[in-house]
Amino acid sequence: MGKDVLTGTYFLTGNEACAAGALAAGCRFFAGYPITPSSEIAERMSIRLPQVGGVYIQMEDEIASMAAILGASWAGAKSMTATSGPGISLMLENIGLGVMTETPCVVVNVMRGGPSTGLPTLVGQADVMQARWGSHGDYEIIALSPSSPQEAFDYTIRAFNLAETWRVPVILLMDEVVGHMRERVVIPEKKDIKVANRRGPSEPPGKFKIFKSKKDLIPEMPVAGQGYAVHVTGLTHDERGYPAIEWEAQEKLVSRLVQKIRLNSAKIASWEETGVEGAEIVLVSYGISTRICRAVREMAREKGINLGLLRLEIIWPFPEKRVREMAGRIKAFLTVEINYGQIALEVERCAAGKCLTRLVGHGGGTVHDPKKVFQAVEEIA
Amino acid sequence: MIEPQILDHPKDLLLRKERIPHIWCPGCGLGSVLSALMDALRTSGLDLKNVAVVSGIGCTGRAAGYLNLDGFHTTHGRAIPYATGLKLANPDLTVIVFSGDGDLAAIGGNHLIHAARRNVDLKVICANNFNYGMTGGQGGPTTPRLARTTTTSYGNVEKPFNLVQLMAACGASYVARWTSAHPHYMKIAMGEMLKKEGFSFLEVIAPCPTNFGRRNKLRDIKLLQRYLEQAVLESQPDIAKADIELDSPILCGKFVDLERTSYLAALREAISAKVKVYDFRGDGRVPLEEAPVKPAAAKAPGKPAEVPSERPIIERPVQIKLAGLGGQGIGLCGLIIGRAAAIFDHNQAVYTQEYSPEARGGASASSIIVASGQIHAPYVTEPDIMVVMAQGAYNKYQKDVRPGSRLIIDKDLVRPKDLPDSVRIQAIPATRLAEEIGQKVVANIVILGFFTALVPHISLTAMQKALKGSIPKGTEELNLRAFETGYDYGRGGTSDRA
Ligand code: SF4
Repeated sequence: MGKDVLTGTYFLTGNEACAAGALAAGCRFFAGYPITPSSEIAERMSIRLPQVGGVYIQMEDEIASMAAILGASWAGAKSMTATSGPGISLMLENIGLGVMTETPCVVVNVMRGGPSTGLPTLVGQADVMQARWGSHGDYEIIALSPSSPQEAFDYTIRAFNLAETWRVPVILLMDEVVGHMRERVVIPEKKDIKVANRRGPSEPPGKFKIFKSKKDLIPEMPVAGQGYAVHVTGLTHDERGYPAIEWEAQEKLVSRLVQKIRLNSAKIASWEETGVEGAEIVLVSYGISTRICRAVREMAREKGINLGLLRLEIIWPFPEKRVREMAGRIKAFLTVEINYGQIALEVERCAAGKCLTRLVGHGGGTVHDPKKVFQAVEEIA
Repeated sequence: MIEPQILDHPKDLLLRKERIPHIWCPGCGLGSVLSALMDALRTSGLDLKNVAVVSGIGCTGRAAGYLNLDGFHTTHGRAIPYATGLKLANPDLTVIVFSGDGDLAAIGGNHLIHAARRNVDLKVICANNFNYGMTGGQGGPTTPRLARTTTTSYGNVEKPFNLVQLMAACGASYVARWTSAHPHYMKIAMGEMLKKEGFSFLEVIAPCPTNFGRRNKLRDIKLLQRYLEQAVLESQPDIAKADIELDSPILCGKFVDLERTSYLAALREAISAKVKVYDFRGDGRVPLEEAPVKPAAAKAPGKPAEVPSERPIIERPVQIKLAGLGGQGIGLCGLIIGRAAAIFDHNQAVYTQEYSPEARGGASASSIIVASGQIHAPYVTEPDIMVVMAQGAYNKYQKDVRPGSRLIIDKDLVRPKDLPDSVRIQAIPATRLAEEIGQKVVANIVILGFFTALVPHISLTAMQKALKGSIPKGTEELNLRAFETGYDYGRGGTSDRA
């Protein structure tokens, strides 16, 4: 068996680092369909998976890719797919199935400019709301956003760990710049990488109910071939997994799917604060735009403006409580994202009029010009 | 008096009894198909623990839920790719897809043909009732011409799919057709499929009296009777005669039974020759007994880096842009500079490349920012150094040359013009020197050596180490010579304004 963790220091693209992180997290199944700017992940997985006993398959489209990784997960493999805008739109149908059937898996979206075919080779950050509620029905999901190749590696591992722990498809919201840029990436020793695995059944087949949850609202997960005769359906189901087409069952199931993330959001949500204490204005950002905000902070420092930065490592669940707290004592939030206002709306909602909220956004194709963001800062300073 | 004893029916073991009664209508053909499958499974000798059934949506799709096996009731049309994932992640499973004609041939048609083409190891049973039963009897891709459905009130005008021909053409290993009035033959076919490697496909013509029968004047049992009359059973049926019309014979039998390399076998073969360690079972499964670990970032341990003594300290980020024509290896130069700075000098480096469609052929550029501290914005916007290897590239990127910056060029290939005086031009006949060494292709490495001699931001040793690690084996000598040639040329002093 080949090595799944190639410890060392490298100069990698975010896409390559993402593939390395997947293998380190234990991913052994990848199904995908080529699409710019994510294809390098598939390419890398096609080389590496066979070396570690895993399977790579190129499917006929993204719909099939998403279905295949769900199937693989129920066969016991950690599985992943990677795509971009048009592909993620096709995957949403089965992402919904993954949510409903509580199937751990990781879906990478290397965001490009949209709508539709948009800008295949250029950056966008406009799939943030789609990541949250793109599939029909009511649910909560987890989405992470790396801002460098090193984080592409680290966050892919986090994504798998979160998927396995909370039994939900986890979306890694990369963007074209992070996917394609190269930087130093340190791959640690295998023993230093924390890997979480789904909780298997604690009882033998027979009485065991495959969708009966524990206190933490997460059911134990047997897989195909273990003798549990699992029944898995996208229909509203009871604790045995059997279809139950009635409102009581819907209430019980869907509220649990939502609450297992919402009630645990303090455990899941993750953000980074820089210079927030004493700052009048706080930038809110994620992914590649975070780096622009860091450059803006330096410009502000030179001018003596105290600028804070709230950077979302995990976008969903959103750090609502923290944003509420901050809104009470700052002058303004300035959300910097490559779209015309998605996270900005969340910030506005949580700030609830207690401070100013502004957006610095654009339609995509390039990153923000730090000077323009700084101008916006000066305007409200 | 003897007490009556209630015994389990042998098939009961295969049913989730608590799910019975099923939802199917009286006279529906689906029960017979399921029953035949249970018979085939009982006599297959398979360990039923390893049998999984996957279905899509529709009346037929409910079958997965009635069997006491691992069952997956998926989205409309997606049973086959879902099953593909199950099978490939655990090849010990026998994976059966049990679904309807609308599910498999309309919305899932693309998956059906590709799974057959790949010859992936699935057993697909398609219950064909010529319409969408569950949603009230609309027409679909197998509805015979002139047949009436709720959406073909004037008679269907479309030519239906001939599923057995389709599957044979796509490369399935096994293709057969029966009607639900032939339980015995169905069971035999299913038994053969369960043993078969590769993709096998069984079409069962199954009556839907409630919808299809009613609208075509074949109520209740009449539809099944009609299929029984129409069926033509042949030991070697001619697939060319397998079209189905409303009143035509329904040709039944086994159309294809071939030894074709299955997807899994092909994968094993192709990969085991090249990757010695290949093992499908491997560690793909998640260990199940372990308790979940709290999610945590696997942060790099941040080993105290051993800082090289000659590490250049770069206070302010330096922006470098390299431009040339496709094939000149300008991207590789950027990569080597980045690796040298980021890995061997322990500085920071960000490398980006143009990813526009026009970058395929023609002039393209790659960019590196190096600094000792953090680099935030990733794009090069105001290059401090530009390296240009072709006139075409010069013309395209001349706009980026700023006053006070440094311009490094191939003397013979680039004629700079219209530049601010403050631009410092440093030129080398890189291509000519490369030719003298023996190969024009290393001109990029000559210019890299030149760059290293002139630019203080990357150390010589780092560059040499990065170079060695970035070139194909067997070309080290040539590349090192090219690098030294450029480096020496730079050290020998170069004229500005060549
Ligand atoms: S609607 Fe047709 S296919 Fe569906 S259960 Fe009734 S008879 Fe069977």
